[in-house]
Amino acid sequence: MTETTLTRNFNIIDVEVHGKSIRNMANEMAITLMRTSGSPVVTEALDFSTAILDRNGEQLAFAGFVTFHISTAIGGVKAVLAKHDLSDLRPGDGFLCNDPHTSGAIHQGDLGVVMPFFHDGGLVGFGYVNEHVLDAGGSAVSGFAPAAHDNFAEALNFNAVRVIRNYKIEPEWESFIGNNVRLQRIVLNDIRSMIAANSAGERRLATLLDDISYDRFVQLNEASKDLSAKAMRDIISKIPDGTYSSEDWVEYDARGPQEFYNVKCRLVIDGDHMTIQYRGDKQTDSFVNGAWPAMVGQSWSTLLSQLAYDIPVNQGLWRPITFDLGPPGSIVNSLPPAPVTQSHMETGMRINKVLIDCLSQACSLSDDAVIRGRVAGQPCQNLAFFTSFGIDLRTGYPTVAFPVSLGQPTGGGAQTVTDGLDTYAAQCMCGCNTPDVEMEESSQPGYILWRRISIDQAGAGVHRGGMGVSGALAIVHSERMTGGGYNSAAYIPPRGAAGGYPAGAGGWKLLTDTNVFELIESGRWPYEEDLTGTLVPHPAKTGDLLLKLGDVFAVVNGGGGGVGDPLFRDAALVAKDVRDGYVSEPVAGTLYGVLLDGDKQADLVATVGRRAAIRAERIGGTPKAQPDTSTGSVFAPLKADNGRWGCSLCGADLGAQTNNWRDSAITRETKISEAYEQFGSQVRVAESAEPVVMRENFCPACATAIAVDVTFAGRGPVAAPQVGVLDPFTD
Amino acid sequence: MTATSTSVRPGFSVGVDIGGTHTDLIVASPTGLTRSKAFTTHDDYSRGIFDAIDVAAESLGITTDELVRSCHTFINSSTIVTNAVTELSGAKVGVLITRGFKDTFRIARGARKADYDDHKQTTPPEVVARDCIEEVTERVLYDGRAPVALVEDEVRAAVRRLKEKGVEAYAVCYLWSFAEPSHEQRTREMILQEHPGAVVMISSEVHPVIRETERFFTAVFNCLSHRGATRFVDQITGELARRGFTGALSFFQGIGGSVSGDAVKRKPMTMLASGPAGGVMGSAAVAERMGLKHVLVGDMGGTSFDTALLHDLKPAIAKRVALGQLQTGVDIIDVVSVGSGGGSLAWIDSRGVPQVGPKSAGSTPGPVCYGKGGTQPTVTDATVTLGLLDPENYLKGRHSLDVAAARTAIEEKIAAPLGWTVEQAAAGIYDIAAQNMADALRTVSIERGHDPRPFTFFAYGGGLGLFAVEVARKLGCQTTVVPDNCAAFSAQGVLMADYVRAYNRTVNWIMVDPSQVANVNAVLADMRAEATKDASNDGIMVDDLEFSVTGEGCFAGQVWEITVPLPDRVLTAEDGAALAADFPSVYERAYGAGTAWLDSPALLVNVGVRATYHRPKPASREQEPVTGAPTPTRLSQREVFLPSERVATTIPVYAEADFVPGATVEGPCILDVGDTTIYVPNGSTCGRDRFFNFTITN
Repeated sequence: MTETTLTRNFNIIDVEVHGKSIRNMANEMAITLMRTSGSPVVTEALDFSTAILDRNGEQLAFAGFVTFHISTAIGGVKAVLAKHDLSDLRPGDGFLCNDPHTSGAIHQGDLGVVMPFFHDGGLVGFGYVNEHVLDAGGSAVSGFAPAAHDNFAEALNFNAVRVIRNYKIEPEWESFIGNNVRLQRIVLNDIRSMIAANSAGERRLATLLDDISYDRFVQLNEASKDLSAKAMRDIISKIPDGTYSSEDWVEYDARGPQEFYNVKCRLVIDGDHMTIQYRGDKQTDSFVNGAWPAMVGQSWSTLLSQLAYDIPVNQGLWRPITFDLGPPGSIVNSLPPAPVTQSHMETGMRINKVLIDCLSQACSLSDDAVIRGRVAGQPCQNLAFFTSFGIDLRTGYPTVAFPVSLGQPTGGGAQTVTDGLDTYAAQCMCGCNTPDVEMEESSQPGYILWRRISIDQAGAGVHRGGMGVSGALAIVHSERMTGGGYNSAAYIPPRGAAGGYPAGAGGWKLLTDTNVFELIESGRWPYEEDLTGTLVPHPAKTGDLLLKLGDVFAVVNGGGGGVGDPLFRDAALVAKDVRDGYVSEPVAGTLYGVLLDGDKQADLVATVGRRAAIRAERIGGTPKAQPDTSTGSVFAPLKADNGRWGCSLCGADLGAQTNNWRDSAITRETKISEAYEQFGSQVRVAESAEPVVMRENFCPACATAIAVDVTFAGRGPVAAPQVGVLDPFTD
Repeated sequence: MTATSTSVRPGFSVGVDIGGTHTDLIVASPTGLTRSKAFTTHDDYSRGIFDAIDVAAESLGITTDELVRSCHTFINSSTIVTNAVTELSGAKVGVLITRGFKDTFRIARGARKADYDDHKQTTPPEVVARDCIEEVTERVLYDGRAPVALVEDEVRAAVRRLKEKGVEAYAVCYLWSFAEPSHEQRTREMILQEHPGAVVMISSEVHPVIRETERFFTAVFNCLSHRGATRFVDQITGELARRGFTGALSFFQGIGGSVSGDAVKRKPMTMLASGPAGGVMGSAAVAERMGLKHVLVGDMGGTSFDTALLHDLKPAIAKRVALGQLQTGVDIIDVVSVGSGGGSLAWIDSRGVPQVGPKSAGSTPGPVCYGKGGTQPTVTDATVTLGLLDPENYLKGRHSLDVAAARTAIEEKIAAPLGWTVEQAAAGIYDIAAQNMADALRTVSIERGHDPRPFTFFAYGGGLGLFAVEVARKLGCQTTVVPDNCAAFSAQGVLMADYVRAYNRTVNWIMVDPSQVANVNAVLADMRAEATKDASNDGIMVDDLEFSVTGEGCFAGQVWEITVPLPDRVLTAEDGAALAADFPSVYERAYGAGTAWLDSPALLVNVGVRATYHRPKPASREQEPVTGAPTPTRLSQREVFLPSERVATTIPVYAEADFVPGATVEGPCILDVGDTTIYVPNGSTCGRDRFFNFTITN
């Protein structure tokens, strides 16, 4: 694996100019899709991507918004190449790829269209367009099947099927697809828009190849890949060698019992190479399983957001990284017939969290200031939403409800340079929008009753997590709508980093037999305080959601995890959050140690006292040392020096690096339900034998929070970094 | 667009472009153009304007008062509104919003940027302090029904609280108000009762279109920029009147064309981006005179390169522009800006590839060669290192350039780390800067569905003459034009541009449905009447107006429209059928075969009326080209490292003064035009047309 073509004599400027032109092509494909699509998921929420690959299926450029599609583009083209002889490909052919197990898709609702690109009669590359279609048939309304026991029951599974010839959907396929999806016209038109986007890419590539020879094209592409590979290696080499570990649990409760599937990550840094390993419990018979595309794609969502944000995406980026999903048949490496319609949002979004956790541990120990600054809290990664199907009373036509603007806007993880972004949505949804209320009320069969920022749901920290939205939709244009309700991380909330606190998990509720119409008819709007009805008991996920006329689906979205001990947060910022209604006053006192005066400004004297009291409370006595932010970083409170762990803020020794530093810290364990009652944050209570707990690990000398863990009671200490030790899973 | 005549009218017309640093002024007299410059005076803009007028009057040999009294037309463009909204400085704004939705400004349609870097994902700026956002009980539905009446007591109480907090301008932001504006209208009445004289913008008036985020931000930004815009209009109006001005005063819009001061006060955001619009419309006027139809426009300043497209001499319009993370409903001329100006910094990215911009050294400290403390190499430092700029005669000798310092900076920061020579590194910076400009031009052309090759590239602004031909070559454009007066082109542009009022309405006409034709005709007639009334308020007679209609359509179910050519007459059912039948082929021309949504009806979403008054154009110098005219004077020879060929060679430098229409010079050479320099590369020929524009074959 050496970069072959890059020499001092090679004209690097030519390479860059070429690379930009290929990236522009992918952008133009994205713009074409946006302009031709009719799906609000594309035009409003930007849930799609485009890519250009070379003849061998290696990636040249990636554009658009959903970052996990980086893997699906490669998986899709690989499936086409595996199944079809190159000599059999014709201009205008198009292959549908939406099966995670056979054609590289994230889930069946994200439909990929692969088209070969030709120039002068020769195959020169591939275009790939992927968007979330509003339906893919089967039991999955809009591509989510919480009740299915196998992938055959979920949706239509296209395994790189040639459905398009001569740039047109084949009439027989058009008829078959139309006959099997809930929104025939919209889905078929979206496929046509994906053809339009691919055609735009093919035309642009042909123009380029009118000017340069194919050999030159290949040479420049290889050099571009080399440049991206080099940049990725440079970043990895700035992270200390070692092994960094994390674990989390995937939740599933739709059939009654609450099930928690363990997912583990090990990040092994060896010089300029990185190995990312996932291991998990055996695959299961519900839609949470992670297949290769979602596992690797979601890993890229995190890698791009946290480390590789300014490197052009192409196959070179992959070279210094090995992905190891372990033995097939697990929840992180599923095989058919495992259902996978929530591959990306269940196991996939846990993958984001454990990888963020590993990278943050590793980055915080780096000597490089930029890398050290990449410590981050986990984003919420819990989209509480529903999809359902019914008949619109106004038109008599079928309609799918998927109110993106309520379920998607969750909080982002806190960063060392800023609070987490509000309405960040999932990490993979780069650039996504939260559709306007008026657009939602135009396309959904109901009214948005209210939509605000959720109070007290962001994880506390020096920088707090981003905030999510709370809101409600009343069904008013359909008698009955059936489908699924989702809540991927209801029980085990997103965590902070470097002593930052976990955030509210987020969830939904359903109110039936309401007074919505009665209120509206009497000239009053159904606001929270006047709305009455019966709460429908439900699990966090259900495949059996029934929404009747007048029912209200209400969400409180969670926030992102914080970064750094909240006792170091600027008191004025906490006071502003209280005045703005984003943090309640008691929580400001409990979590941040900030007390306010009569004008709701920070009372600095009282705050100093309160913070000192909290520190003493944390370690059960007056701290022996004062944290000094001039010698250490609030975003890297743990330091590794001469084989010893230490507190960077007061210098206290935390034991030998061969041990877990937590053994030397003062640890306080609280049931998450009790902690969150104090924080005003939302979480579902697991009825497991051992409850979910929050473990705060404090420096025994200065009482600074070094790490706040979330795990199950009775489980051993969360693993510490193994600096300088390469300790991969070896199964 | 019809041909406009160059009528010579006695007296003067004056065009002014007020920028952040300089106020540029052009005076058109029957004999030609005079330009002048002064520093912008932010406390009272009229002072800077009069400083510039003084300079111009002196060059014309008359007094300032004489100039002002015999001036019949005075047109301004300015960055005042642009600055107010980018710096979020202006009036203290209060908002009344539908109960339940006070976080609409914070949510801002989801502020997640299309940037992978989580460090760049920052909360949108607080345009309105959160304690100045008051929720009010009321509700309108999507179909315009209003089941929940406006609770007036709440409005009064809210206004009293806001007034107490020092709010000066109120934005009224109710859901679906464009479908039923009465709640917003009633709220305005009550605000004015409680707070007489306050500024009130209601969203249903400033942008009566679906999508509340854009509508609400438009109302808020109009509030924010109102004070500055009003002060600006009043100062200029007052000072001109005091000095005896009796002509017509107007203000340039971001969408092109100018309007009265009263129209600006009603909707200050019409002045957003009026400076760049002036340059684009000036290009349109010059291009028309030259007989061109399709033009790509480029303007290179200190911090950025701005570009726009003219198709059939009409500018492309950017609809619903975003200001950073904040969406508005304001339409402006589609100007794409990239960080490729003279002061843009060169640096090496993580892959070891040199990059240019978007960070800029600005005017302070500026490029290293200015000797004002800059240490990071810039684009200007690269051009001076290559020998393209004359260090002793920069800006007519007003500055000298420190070549040695520029070379050292490039050596240290770029050349040495890459193992290149200083010249190779400078050529690399030049190339990347040119590539960034070409990419911006691609954005406004290819990405908007226009093949750039038949377009002429119009290049103005101080530094662009050095890059123009190389940039045009990257796009395959055949001809580059560097217009006469290219350094003060925006000020000239406002003078060349017409009076324009544009109106848009949503009609959602299923084209094959004859029952809706009458409604579409009524909407068109209504907009014409509105245009006539507004023009008459601005002192323009209906007979002088030229009307054009525009249409935008899509297949039912799509959200993005394409242009639909509409016949300019009362529409009939047959017209509808013909438009519908033609639509799939119009669509497939844009997006390719097989992409039309054949099972969805064609929908005409919006119709527009544009009313234009062709102002008499100022005369510009003109001279019949002479075949075989003598080659201009060769001023000197200069050693230049040619950026494309990457070789050092000695090339001639020609003077501009005796470069007469009809003469030509062959590249590689340099033209010294005083306040700008043009580089004609190898293989290109530069001529001068009858209007003294330089035309270069690429």
